[in-house]
Amino acid sequence: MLISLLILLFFSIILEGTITALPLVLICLICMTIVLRDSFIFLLAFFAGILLDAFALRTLGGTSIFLLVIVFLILLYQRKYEIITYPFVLISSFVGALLYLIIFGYSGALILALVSTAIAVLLFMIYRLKVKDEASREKLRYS
Amino acid sequence: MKSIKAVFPIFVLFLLISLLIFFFSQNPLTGGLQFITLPIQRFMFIASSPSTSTTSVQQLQEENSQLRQQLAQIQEIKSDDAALHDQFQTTTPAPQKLLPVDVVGLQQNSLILGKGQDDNVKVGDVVVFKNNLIGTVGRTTPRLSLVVLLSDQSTSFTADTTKTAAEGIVKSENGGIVTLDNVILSDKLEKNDIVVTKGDQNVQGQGYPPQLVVGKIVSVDKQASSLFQSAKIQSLVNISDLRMVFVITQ
Repeated sequence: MLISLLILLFFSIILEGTITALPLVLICLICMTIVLRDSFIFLLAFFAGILLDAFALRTLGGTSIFLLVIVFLILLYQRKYEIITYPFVLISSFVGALLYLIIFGYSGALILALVSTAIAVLLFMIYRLKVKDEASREKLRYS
Repeated sequence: MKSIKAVFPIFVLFLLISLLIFFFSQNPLTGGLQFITLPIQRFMFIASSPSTSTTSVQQLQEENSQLRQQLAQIQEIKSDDAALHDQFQTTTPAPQKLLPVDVVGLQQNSLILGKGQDDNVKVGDVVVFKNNLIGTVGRTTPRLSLVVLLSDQSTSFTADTTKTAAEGIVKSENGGIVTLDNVILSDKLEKNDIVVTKGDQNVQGQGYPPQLVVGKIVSVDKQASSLFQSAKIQSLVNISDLRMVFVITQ
């Protein structure tokens, strides 16, 4: 799971840095934070942000700060509420993507945020299916 | 999951490092990172271009693939050569002021060029292709520069039409539509008329030179009740097809 998410993050950095305006890295990090809930995601957010700034010729560190704050807010929220749910993925990815697109000056932010939300929900759906599949296999093994 | 006491110091540590980078160490880090990002950007830009895509059947044939690679290299050299030849035959802007630069990336309302401060590219330099205006350099790093295209909302300069000599201000609306605005009602705007820069250079040579083509008029919006009329402009150049552009250096 971790390796596949890391590979996904790597390709998201390359794609967002070169050919697409969609905030794929943010979406990927939000999904990783929801699924893994581990503090090492701060490290990923930091390096992903620096690389994205280098690709987009932005001031280095700006994207890192944004990504770190988003990851921290999700980790804070999960202490009080259940976050592995579709509504949380939907709202967090939409609000996160919209803020990101507005702060970094992208035009058509609303449409891009909606597409990003759809991608986030799709990623989460794949994760849920995979977890379900693994659970049923475990059940079969012990029965 | 670790407690908030364990997570908070890690968050603060990375936030502090990010803030330090953000405020203090821009140039050395940017230069170093662009050693990694520049080849990736160049590769992805060429790979994502429709003109270089091949069919899956052809990709399976090893020998053909090698020959195609050689052909692509020759064609690239030929197109670069043709672009240089065309550009230097164009009288406006003067050829001696032009710096040929490869396009390495395309982003929303901006292009990324493969030359920067090390090659004397400065913020505010005008970027052209033949005699078509592409945009201005908005940001530079030692090895790369970012071109703000005409579709960016910050665009604003004076221009006139070639046929009817109507004068106005070129602006960009939200959504990347370029318009010739603030044209007085007594001036005549015609569909397919070419819009060119009026020229607003300062003593240092910064600003738009005159007679650069902005685009052609595709529609006119004239209402008797309004103070001004406007027209939508379409560029004569397809930005995503550009491989090489020219920076007018001062």
